[in-house]
Amino acid sequence: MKDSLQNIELIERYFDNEMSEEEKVRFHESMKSDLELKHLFDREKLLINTVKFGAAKKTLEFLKDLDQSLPQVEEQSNKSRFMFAEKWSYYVAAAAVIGILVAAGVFLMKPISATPENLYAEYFEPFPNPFGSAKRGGTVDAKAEAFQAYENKDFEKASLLFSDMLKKESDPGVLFLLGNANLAAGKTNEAKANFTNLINNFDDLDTQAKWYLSLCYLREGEIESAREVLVELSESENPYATKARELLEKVN
Amino acid sequence: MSDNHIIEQIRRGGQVELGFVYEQYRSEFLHWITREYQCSVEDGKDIYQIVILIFHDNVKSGKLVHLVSSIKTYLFGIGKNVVKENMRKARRQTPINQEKWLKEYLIDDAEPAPIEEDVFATAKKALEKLGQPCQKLIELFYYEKKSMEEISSILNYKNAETAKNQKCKCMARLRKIFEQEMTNTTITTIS
Repeated sequence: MKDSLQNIELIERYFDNEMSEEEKVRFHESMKSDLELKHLFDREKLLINTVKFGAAKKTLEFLKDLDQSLPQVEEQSNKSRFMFAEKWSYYVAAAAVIGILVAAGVFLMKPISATPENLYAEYFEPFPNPFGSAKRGGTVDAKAEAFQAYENKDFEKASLLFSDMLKKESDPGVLFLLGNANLAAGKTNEAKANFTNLINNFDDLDTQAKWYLSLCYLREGEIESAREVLVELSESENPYATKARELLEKVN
Repeated sequence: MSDNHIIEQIRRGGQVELGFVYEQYRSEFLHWITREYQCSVEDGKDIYQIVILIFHDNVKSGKLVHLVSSIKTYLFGIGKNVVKENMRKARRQTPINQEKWLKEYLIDDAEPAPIEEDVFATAKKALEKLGQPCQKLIELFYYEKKSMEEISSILNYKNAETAKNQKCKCMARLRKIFEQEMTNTTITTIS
């Protein structure tokens, strides 16, 4: 079907919010009698909704990736579901499992001492790429290339590209990802500088930066410094408090 | 970092800050929703992710600029509405279907027409074929709700006027690809 130029212009003005309320009313009125206009309008609405849906799905994927890296939230037991007998057998089974775990724990824990390097490896996971994948064909700009490198775990490349981005424009989010890329690439001192810069000079992402800074210290074997940051994190209400307390116990 | 500061950062496109909000209230929200509505943690997570997307959308569209209460209260409020709405639509308490929810939420007009799945699939295919930077441009405009000035700076166009021209060209291309795909689908169906 051929698109009438005049109709397309009208539709674009409608969806780009360039019409006054009065014009919008007239536009809706015209659609009642102009079937071609109505068809073009429905098609435009479908295409725009498809764009929005695709973008929202990318954000949803980012949230799902992020969720995977966070501590598990335990299911809450629903007491009413259990009858007394079931409860009894449940307690017996639980006691047996706990007994086995304690015995195994005593046996297993003794010879292993958690080194700071081991703890770092256990707890470090790069922050998920919040900007989604850029590999959808066509030209890819420098920013998209940086995020793509990060997503592909090419941390050396991501580090270089993020540094270039920061030379042009200061951005706490990019600085945070640069710190992650450096830490993942083994450039711990650079990562430390990135996170310290974020904590001292920006208002954003302090908590996250502190968590990753503590991991930098652990990796370098600077236990006292790691402990100091972890204590700070564990004493306030933040998403890393539980993990910080857990890690602090292991460090101690 | 104050709540209103976080909102401002998210409005400017701060995805890391959105992740921060997600982490900050996740545990409390999941404990609350699993207790209040007797759902599993996994179903609670699906609801929480929809809640965060709605929060994100409200920030970007300018519906939420300054909070009277706190982000936490705001998120829990959205959570309650999402659960009620889900129960109303499904007529009973069922796990939320995220894709269906997103589609219905994004079509926010007064006279919603049901989307035919095959037509929607064709539109998705056309969008994939459109490629970059067109895809990014129209996404920034229609989903991120960025102004033409902001888009010209993000995508390195000369000025807002150039960005607007490019956007019109991209949409014209998308319409054309969509019509071609529709014709191909019809021919395939007939033969």
